[in-house]
Amino acid sequence: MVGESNNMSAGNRSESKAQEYPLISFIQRNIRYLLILPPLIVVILFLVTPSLMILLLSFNKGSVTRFDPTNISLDNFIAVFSRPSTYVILRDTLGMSILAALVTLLVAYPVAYFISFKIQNFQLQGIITFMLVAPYWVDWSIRSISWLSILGEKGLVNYTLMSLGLVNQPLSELLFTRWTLLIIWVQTNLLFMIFPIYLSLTLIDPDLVNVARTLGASPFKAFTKVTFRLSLPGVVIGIIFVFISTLGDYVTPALWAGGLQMLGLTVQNYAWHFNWPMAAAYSVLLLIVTLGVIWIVLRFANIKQVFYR
Amino acid sequence: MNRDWTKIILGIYTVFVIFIFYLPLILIAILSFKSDASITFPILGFSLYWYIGPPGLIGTSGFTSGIFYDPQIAQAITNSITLGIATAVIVVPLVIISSLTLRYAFKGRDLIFYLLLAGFIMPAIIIGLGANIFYKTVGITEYSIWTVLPLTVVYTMPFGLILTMARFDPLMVEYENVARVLGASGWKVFRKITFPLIRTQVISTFFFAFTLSLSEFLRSSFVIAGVGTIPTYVYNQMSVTAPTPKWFALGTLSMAISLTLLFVVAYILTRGQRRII
Repeated sequence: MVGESNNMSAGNRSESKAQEYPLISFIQRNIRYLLILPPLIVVILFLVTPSLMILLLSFNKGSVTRFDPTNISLDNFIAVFSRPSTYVILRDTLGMSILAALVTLLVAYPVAYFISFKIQNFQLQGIITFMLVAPYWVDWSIRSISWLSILGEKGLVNYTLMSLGLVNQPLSELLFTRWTLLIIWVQTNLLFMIFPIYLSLTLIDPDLVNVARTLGASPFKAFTKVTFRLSLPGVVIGIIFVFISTLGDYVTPALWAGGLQMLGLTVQNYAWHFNWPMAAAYSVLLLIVTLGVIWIVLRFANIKQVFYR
Repeated sequence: MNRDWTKIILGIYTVFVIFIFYLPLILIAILSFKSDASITFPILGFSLYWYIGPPGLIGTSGFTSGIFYDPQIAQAITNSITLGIATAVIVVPLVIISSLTLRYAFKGRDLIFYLLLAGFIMPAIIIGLGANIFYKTVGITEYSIWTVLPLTVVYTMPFGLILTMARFDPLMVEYENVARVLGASGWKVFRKITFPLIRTQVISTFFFAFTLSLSEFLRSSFVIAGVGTIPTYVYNQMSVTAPTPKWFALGTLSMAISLTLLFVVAYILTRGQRRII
């Protein structure tokens, strides 16, 4: 409202000028769109267009690498949906991603709560958050191989267990199972869950919690009915992030999951063997799954209201 | 004495989580000083070989050397840092103009907002594969960090947008109007009122964009060639030779640099006892 009235006063001042120069009046009328144009162009060019190209390519047959309008068929999708393996892949992918998101949430929430509510010193708050960011400067593939040193046959865990005499032989099932994948996913995505929850917790007025307590709510009830509910936008953003990053990950499962087939991995396999249309068809399936899950998760919180009214 | 037990328990828990979070990095740092070529236990001796050793003394393949002897690593580091800075330099102004514009209601705002966040929602492999197909279609075949740059921009911009918009001062628009009524020009309002109010978010956006693109692999691996960035280079090397502590030396180096830099930034930002993010 304030913004609108201000626009009008700015408009009145230069009205005479605007009548002389149609270009200026055009710019003044469409200033919002003109300002938002550069970021929008980047997104449309490098995100929307490529996605549409994937969509188009998924309707092509054979091993073409760019869209051929004379060769349209539904064969790829028929192949995708008639294979029983597709449903196994879907189940494993969704199951692992949902599990990763939930476990990450459980691990992350108390940390975010502690940083935002129990530490009054902003400097300390900042240092803890920066300490959580710093590991991301260590290269991703280097962090990834370090799991060999932790969970491998001669890794830290086995080495410790053997030196303590708890086991005689190294445990070989620590690596290359779906639980390895879960641990690694939780570890690598933790920050992206802590961060949005922390952000939404700091936006909560502490007086609201105090009011609930004064009115007789138990600490637990005040937490579930006030704090947790108000932090839902952060929780939802965190879940979406972990979900998307695990759904689209095609390397961690290939390295550590011991042959577990995932959707992202399937896309990459087809791309690797230059069957682009099939890769595109599985990408479309991946995108549908992703959007479906986001749509469900968004029912739990109105994300938009955090950013603008 | 009424101790805050939740605080104590949560504090211990947080320290524990940070420890687990850092465990791989602590191991990377320790194992990088190993004197043999394996990345596992036991540690038989320590040396600086994987940092400053000349090529060919340890290891089965003749070309293993310390990281400071490897011109390709130097190239990969340069490429990664260039990509990170270029991404951040492009993302920051894009985030500033889009977040400030999205404060006002206009037709199609919701659609535009969701479109700008799409890089956050799109699975990595779709961005990578899509860009590869896109470049092929428009005839770009020479891949380098500059073909990766648009992808890291699209991918990191939503993070900047989210953390900038979630932290807007609720009175920002009012302050700006006061300044304007008092006769300040548009540029002056931005420089004296708006920018100081979003300064911390702008710095966080810069660092987020830099950090995320520095270790970006899933999207870039589809559209990069040659030595590439640190993640693509290390990944390609590891798929042809067994991993050696050399990579851990590289990791330790980046860790040391990042911790130093981040603490300096944290110190500068918090001098005034204000929230960083």
